[in-house]
Amino acid sequence: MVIGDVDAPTLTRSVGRAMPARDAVDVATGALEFLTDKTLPDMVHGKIVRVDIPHGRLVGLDTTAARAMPGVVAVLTASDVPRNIQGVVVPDRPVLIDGRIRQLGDPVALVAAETLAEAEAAAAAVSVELEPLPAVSDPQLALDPESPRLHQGGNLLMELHHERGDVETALANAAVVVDEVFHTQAQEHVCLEPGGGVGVYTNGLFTIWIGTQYPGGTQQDVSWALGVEPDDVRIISTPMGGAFGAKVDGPVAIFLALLAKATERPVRIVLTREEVMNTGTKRHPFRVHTRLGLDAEGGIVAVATDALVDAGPYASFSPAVLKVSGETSTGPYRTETASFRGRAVYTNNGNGGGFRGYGVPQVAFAIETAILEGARRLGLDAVEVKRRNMLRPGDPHGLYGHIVGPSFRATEALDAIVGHPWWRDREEWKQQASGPWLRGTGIGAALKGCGYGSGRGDHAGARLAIGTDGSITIWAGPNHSGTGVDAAYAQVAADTLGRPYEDIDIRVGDTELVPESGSSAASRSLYVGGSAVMTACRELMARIDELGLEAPIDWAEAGRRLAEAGRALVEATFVAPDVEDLGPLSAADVERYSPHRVYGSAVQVARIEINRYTGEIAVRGVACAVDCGVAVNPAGVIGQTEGGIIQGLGWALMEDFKYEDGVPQTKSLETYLIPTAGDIPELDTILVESEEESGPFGAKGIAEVVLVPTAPAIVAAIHDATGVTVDRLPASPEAVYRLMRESAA
Amino acid sequence: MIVELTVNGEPRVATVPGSVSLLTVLRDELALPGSKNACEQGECGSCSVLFDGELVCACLVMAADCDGSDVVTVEGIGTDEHLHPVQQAMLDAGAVQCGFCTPGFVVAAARLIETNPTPDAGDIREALAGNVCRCTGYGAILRALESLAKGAS
Repeated sequence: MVIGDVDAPTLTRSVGRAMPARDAVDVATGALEFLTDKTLPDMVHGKIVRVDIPHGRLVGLDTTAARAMPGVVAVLTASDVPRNIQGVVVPDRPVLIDGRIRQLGDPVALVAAETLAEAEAAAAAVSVELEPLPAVSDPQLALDPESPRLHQGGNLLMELHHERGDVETALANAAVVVDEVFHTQAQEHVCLEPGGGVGVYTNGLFTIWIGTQYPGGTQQDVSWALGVEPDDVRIISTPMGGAFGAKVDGPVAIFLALLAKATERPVRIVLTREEVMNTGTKRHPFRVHTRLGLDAEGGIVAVATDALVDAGPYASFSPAVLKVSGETSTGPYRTETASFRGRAVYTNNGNGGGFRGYGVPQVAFAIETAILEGARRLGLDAVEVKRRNMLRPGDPHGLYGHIVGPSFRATEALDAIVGHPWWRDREEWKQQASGPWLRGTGIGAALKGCGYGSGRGDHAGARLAIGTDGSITIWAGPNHSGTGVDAAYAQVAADTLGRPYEDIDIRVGDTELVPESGSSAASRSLYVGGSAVMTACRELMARIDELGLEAPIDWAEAGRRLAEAGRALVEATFVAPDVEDLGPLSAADVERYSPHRVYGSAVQVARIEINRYTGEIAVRGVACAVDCGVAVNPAGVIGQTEGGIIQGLGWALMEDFKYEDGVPQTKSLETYLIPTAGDIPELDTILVESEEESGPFGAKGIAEVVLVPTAPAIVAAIHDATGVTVDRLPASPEAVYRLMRESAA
Repeated sequence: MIVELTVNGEPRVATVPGSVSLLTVLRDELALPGSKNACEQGECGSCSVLFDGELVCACLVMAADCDGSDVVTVEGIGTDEHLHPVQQAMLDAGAVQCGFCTPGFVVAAARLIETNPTPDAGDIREALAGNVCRCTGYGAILRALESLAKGAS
């Protein structure tokens, strides 16, 4: 279903049509070559030698035996790395360990051999002498001055603080104050394709085929560590078997470059599932202390949030995640008074990094559940409390006070969900519960900014070539990380040029050909990259106009004449606009907090059954209303929404990446459970459209926000069914059973 | 050891080193990379193949046990010119996102339709519960097969 205020005639031939992924036929027949499938003549196989303790010191490393093993071509250690440091935001991570070990699985050496079996045997023959240190596994204890310091500057990676208004006074005057602590767990992305790829070094140039969401960042990582110019490194990064934030950074491209240079042969590294589980980034575990003040009518008078974030051993994108948490800590709600204190802390646990939602799900679970509790205490309906406080276009943002852009449609999304049969008929459905099953229904809501945020110069580029036969090729970014955003780029191009979708050839994921466009992340690919495509297409149309051709345009003639004039190649850059009205924020705040002008939002209803004897939860239905601007490719929006809901459902109910003293306990898909077809509810997506003036054909980015309301909606449904309030995720059967027992006692 | 088997209807001979899996032989020896290696322990279904007609995870089958057997991989289900109905249904429903799990789903779904041309929603879920997808949330995959089953009934 599509609702909204978009003027239908503005939609043209391609935009608004459901398009399949452009590589779908090759995918379905198994013909598509993923980068970890790639095989080159004379290729050797790389293997990473890793440590098996979470914290300690490397005191001895002997590669003599490994070098003498059959088939071994190269063995590299830290001294072979020209600049042994990496980290996109904070350079705090050695490429290969030369002393301190901070994570189980940290790499100490690289091996290349003729066959994978020989590489594995040689890696096992590297002799590693370790001196273990006590693991820092509790973020609160990590801040204790007596705790071992994981990095020179101490264990506090970053602290972010902002207050708008006087929170303590507002809370003191509130009718009720909900004062609760919420805990969330680490989540693993489980991209089906493990990381890896192929590297080649020829004539001083590196070519690395590796699935990365941020080809330009990977290029910088490699050029820095190898001590070469970025132009000497080409990253080819598509197709990619899933990403979700897991492939926005990481060391494997550097490993490939090091081994390719040392062996002067093509080299392939494919990570094992266990390597990914042990060393890949995770969704950060949060401890969120929320104080929510409501007046007697349910109006929000203040929100105070204090988040303690387990960043794990290296910074990765933790500072940026913390910013986004702060910005979304007040949810999609109005308030004049709010504060956020966030601290990201180094530990020896899983490495917190980018993960779809980027710090929003944790604080959304807190604020949404606090509203549930506050409404209960006031004797009000929680959904009415949400509606009453819902942020509207033109409102000042709850924490920062900057003005929310005109395309925001959270209220309309809430209305759509309140009108959905699963919400409307909730009492009747509840009455029909039978046997051991209790039934409940709940609603969750969320917002998330589109793009990197203000003060970051968020931009994307596109390069367009018209051939002398009239053909159109566009090199566009951000990359297609499994989302099929390239289909939407083609739709935008087709309609800007007034040509059929099939005429447009889109190429993504190659630093040699695609202008620097940042990462496929932050709900920005279509919003920023699609706008760059549109800008390039408009420039082409302007050049064709100057030719004075008669309509309909003869594209081959246009291509020939532009080629003769040296004007057949167009390069364009789109810079996402910053917040227009900063309200009380200063210019320095803009850089510090990166507030957004454009937000997407999503509201979901979940209906669930709970077994009163076991705590088992079966989610029967989730409907999502998504505030997406114009849905350029409705199939893409629905696919992202359904995928987001199920990732959110997994986080809410079953996914829990466990550590004991820094040692991963759930390092395979046998112990780390994610939803399968047997777990999924009936799904329904409602597209709530509006025209975002800065987006291509009015589009916004939604691929993250759709994951966020699922856990709060399920928690609200558990509350509806049982009266218990879940304050710690996942809501496993054991946890819910225990809460029900405690509540009955 | 030398293993002689039939793969996608053609006789093939593979030199099998030691204790490798059928999946490794398919991908590395027989140049059939459509079957994917995602979990290495039979949890995700990305390497689903038909082994003497039965749906198995190729990563759990010892290559040495495959002598004389008949194997069908995703490459044997359909081609771009002659798509299998489950492939067409998945394309039509928008059931492909990153695509790494798709070959496994295609094989499992083709096996389901072969044994039960008109499965109901429960049959479909049960048949696909051994295949993990992280992108789609399964919605479009289930809709694809439900509409295929509806068309057949």
